[in-house]
Amino acid sequence: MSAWSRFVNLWRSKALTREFDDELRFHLEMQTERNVQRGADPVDARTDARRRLGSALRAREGMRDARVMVWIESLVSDLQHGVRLLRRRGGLAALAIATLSLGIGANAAIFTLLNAILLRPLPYAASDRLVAMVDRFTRLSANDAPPTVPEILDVRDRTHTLGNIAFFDTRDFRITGGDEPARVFTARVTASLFPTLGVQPALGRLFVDADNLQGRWNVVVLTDGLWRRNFGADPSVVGRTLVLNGAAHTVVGVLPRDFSVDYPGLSTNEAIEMYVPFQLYEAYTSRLDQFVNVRRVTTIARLRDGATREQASSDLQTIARAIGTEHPELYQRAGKDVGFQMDVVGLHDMVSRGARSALTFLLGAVLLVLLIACVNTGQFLLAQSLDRESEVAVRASLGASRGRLFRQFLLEASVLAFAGGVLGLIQAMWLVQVMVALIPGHRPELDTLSIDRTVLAFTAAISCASAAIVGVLPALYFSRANFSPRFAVRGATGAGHRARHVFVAVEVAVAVVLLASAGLLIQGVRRLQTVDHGFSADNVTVMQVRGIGSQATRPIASITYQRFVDQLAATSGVEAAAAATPLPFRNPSGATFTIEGAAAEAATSVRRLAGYQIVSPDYFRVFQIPLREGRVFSVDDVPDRTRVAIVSETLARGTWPHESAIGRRIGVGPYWLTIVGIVGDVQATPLDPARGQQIYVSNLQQFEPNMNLAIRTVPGVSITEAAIKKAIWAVSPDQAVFNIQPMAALVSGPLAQHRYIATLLSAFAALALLMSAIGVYTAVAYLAARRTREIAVRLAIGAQARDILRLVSGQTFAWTVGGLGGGLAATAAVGSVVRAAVRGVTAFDPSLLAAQALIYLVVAAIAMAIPVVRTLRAIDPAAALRVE
Amino acid sequence: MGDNKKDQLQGTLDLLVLRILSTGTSMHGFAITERIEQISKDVLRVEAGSLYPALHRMAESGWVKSAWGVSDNNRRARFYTITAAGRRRLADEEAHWASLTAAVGRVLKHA
Repeated sequence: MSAWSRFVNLWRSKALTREFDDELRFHLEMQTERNVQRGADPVDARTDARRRLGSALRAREGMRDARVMVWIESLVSDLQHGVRLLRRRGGLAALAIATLSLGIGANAAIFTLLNAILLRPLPYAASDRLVAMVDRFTRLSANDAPPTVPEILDVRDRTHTLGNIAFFDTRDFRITGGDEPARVFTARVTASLFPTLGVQPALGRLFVDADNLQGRWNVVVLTDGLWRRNFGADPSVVGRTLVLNGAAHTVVGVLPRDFSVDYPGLSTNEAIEMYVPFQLYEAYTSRLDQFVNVRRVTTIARLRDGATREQASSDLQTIARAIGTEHPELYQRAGKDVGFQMDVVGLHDMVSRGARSALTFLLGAVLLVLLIACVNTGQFLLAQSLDRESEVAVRASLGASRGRLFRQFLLEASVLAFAGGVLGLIQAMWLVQVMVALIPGHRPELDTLSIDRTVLAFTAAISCASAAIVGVLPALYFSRANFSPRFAVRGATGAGHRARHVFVAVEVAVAVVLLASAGLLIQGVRRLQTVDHGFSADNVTVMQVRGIGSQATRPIASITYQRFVDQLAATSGVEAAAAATPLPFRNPSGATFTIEGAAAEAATSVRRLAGYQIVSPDYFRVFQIPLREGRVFSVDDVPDRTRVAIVSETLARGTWPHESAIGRRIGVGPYWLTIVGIVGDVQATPLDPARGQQIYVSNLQQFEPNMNLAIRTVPGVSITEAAIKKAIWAVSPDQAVFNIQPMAALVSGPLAQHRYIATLLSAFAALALLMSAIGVYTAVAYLAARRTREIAVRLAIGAQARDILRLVSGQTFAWTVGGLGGGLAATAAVGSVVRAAVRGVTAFDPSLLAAQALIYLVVAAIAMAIPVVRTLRAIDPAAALRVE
Repeated sequence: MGDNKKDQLQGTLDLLVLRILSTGTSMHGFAITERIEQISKDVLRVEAGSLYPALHRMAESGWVKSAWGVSDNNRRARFYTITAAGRRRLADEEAHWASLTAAVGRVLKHA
C-alpha cells in the first residue's frame, strides 16, 4: 500500500470499513453456501457460518488495527533509527542542520519583509477596495502619471464606479513660537481622505468638506507622533493655536496612533507629521492657470459597493475620452492626439511598486542558497548511507521494501529539516531586525513587522520542501542501485560516485550564479557612484528654507534669497554660496524650447526637451561646473533687463553644430531667452549616467519662492549647523532651516537601495560560496577516505603527492569546472534579471565574470586540497596495507 | 519480532498462509481457510477473526499484496498474492519452524 493511500485511509475510515465489511460478507456468504452444499439446513448453515466467522466486529477492528499499527510501529522505529544514526554522527549532523538553518533562516527573513510589503493588506478598512487613479499618455509613453486636480474633480462629478475620491500632496510648513523656527512635514488633503480610508479621530474632529474651500486653511489635524513629541500627549490640545508659516492655525483633532499615508509608493518619502486641508483655489481647480499641467497630488479612491476594478477602469476610460475631447488644447499637441487615458491601480500595488521586483529578486537569491544547503545536506546523507551500504543491502535482502528505505531517508531528512527550520526561524527573527535597521529610507510597512502566520506557514513549507529534496537525492541514488554484492566493489574502487559529483556540479553552478549576480550589482552601483557627474559635490553643504510666506510675492523672494546667499557667503569658512531649484542631480523638470529662426514646421515637429533649473549667479562656482564659453549670470541680470539663459554644451552643440550659441535666442514658455554662456554637461538623475541638454535661468529673472541653498566651504574647514542657522536668521529670524546635509549624501542617497540590495546579495553569495566549498570539500574528503588503502599502495610503489591529488580530486575538479561553466552560462541569462530588478545596472562584463570564476576555482582547489593533504599526512603506507 | 506466545501463534498462522500462497496462485480469504482445512484434514481450523487481521498485517508489511477481483461464482472478493519479500519471509519462518519442531522432537524423544 502506498504512503498516499495509507494517508488517505487514515481519514476515510468509513470507506475502509466498508471494504472490510465487503470482504467479511463475502466470506460469510461463501461459508453459508458451503454448509448448504454439505446438506445443512440453510438457517443452521448461516448460524454455523456466523459462529465460525467469529465476531465480525472483532475481525473488522483487527483488520484496521493491522493496517494502522504496522504503519505507526514501523514509522516510530524508522524515526528512532534515523535519530540514532544522526546522533552517532553528531558533528556532521550539526553541520548539516546549521547549513539548512542558514538557508531556511535567510528565506524566512526575506519572506518576512516580502510579506510585510507585498502580501499583508494595507492597514485601512476594506483596503482591497481602495484604488489609486493614474493618467497614461500612450503616445508619449508616459505611464502612471498622477492626474491633475481638474481631472480628478471631473472624475468625481462623472464616475458611477468610484465612491469616495480623495487626494493629497506634501509641503514643508514652518512652525514658530517654540525654541527656534522648525519645519513640519505636512500633507495637504481633501476632507474626503479620512472617510475614504475609514479612519476616525483619536481626539477632536477630522476635516469636513467646507475646510477645503478657500479661506478655510487655518485648521490642522496632528498625527499621533507629533502630538506625543511636541505636545506631550496633552489631551487638551484640541483648540490650541499654532503659528504655521507666520499665521495662526487651530488644532481641531488628533489622528490615531497607527494611521499613515506616507508610503514611498505614494510619492511620500518622509513621515507626515501634520495634516491641513487642501485649499481648492481657482488656480488649482480650473484649467486656466499656471498649474493646469502640474501633477503633484496622489489620488486615493474607494470602489462603490458592487463595482469591480475592471468596471472602474472602463468607467475612467470613458471619462478620459470625454475630457480629451472637451479640452483639445491640452490633450492634442500640434493637432496630434497624445493618447490620454485614465485608469485605476490597486492602492496596494501602487504602494508596493518599486519594492516588488527587488524583493522577489532577493527571494529568488535566497531560494538558490537554500537549494545549495539542501544539496549539501543530501550529500551528507548519501555519504552516511554509502558507509551503510552493507546495512542497506542487508535490510533490503531482509525484505525491507524500496519504499521503506526511501521513507528512512525521508525521515532522516525530515529530522534535519525540522531542526534546521526551528533554528532558521530563530535566526530569521534576528536577521529581520538587522535588515530593517539597515534598510534605507522611510517604510511605514516595516513599523509593525512581525513573524506572523503567513511567515510561519512559508517557513514550514520550505522546511518540508527541503526535507523532500534532501531525502530524495540519496533515495534516487539507491533506487537505481540493485542491492547486490557489487556494493562492496563500488566502495573499494571509489567508482560510481557520479551522483555525488552531479551534486557538486549543481552546487557550484548555483553558487557561481549568485556570486556573479552580486558582482554585477556591486559593479553597477560602483559605476553609478564613481562616474563623473559633471559637478563637484565635495565640500558642498546644502539646505532648505521654507515658508517665506507673506514675503513670497515677486520679486521679493528673489531678493530674500539673494540676501541669504550673501549672508552665507560672508560666513567664515565659506567660499561661495548659491540658491537653486532644483539642486543638480535631482531630476530637474523638463522644459520644451523652441529655437528662434528655425522653420515653423521644424519647430512643431521636432520639440526639443531640456532640463530646466533656476539658479543664482554663483551656482556654477559652488558646484564647480566649468564655463566653456561666454559668461555666467550676474547680479545685474534683473527682470527689466534682457532675459538671459545659460545652456549645457550638449544643447549648444546639438542645436548649433557649426556656430557659437552665444547671442542666440531660445523660447521657453512665454519668454525669449538670450544665451549668454555655455557650461559643462552634468548628470541629471542618479540612476542614469547620461548627461543631457540643460537650460539654466537666473533666479533674479525667474520668480521662484521655494529654493535650496548651497555653500562651498574652504577645503578642510567644516561649518556647523548653528553657524548656518545664524546666517539665515540674521536675514530673517523666523526662517526654518532644515535638511542641512553634505551634497555628497544627496548624491549617494538615491543609490542607497541599490547598495542595500547589493549588500544583501553579497552576503547571500558569500554564504553560497562557503556552502558549495563545503560541498566540494566533503565530496573530496569522502573519496579520499574511501581510497585510503589504494592511496597507501600507490605511495608505497612511489607515487608523488601531486599524483595522488590528481587521482583523488581529478574527477571532482572536472565536475567543478563543468558546474562553473554551467553557472557562467546561466549567469548570462540571469544578468537580464538583475538588470530588470535593479535600475541602472547595465553592463554584462566578461572580465568581471572571469575574475569571479577564478576566485571560485581557487576556493574549490583549496577545498579539494585540504582533505587530500590531511589523508596523505595521516597515511602510514605500511600500516594501511595491514588493514583488512 | 517479539517472543511472546501470541507472536508465536501469529507466526504460525503467517507461515501457513504464506505457504498456501507460495504455490503462486492468488486466493481470497475463504479459499485460504478452505485450503488449510482441506490439507490438514480439518485438524487446523482458521477463524476469520484471526485470518483477516493477519492478511492485512502481512499486506501492510509487504509480504502479500491484495487486489479486488471476481470469484469463481462471480462475486466481488479480495484476492491475495505472495510477494518476493513474502517468499523470503516464508523461507525464514519455515527454517524457524523446522528448527523449532526438531528441537521439540528431540526433547520429546530424549527426555
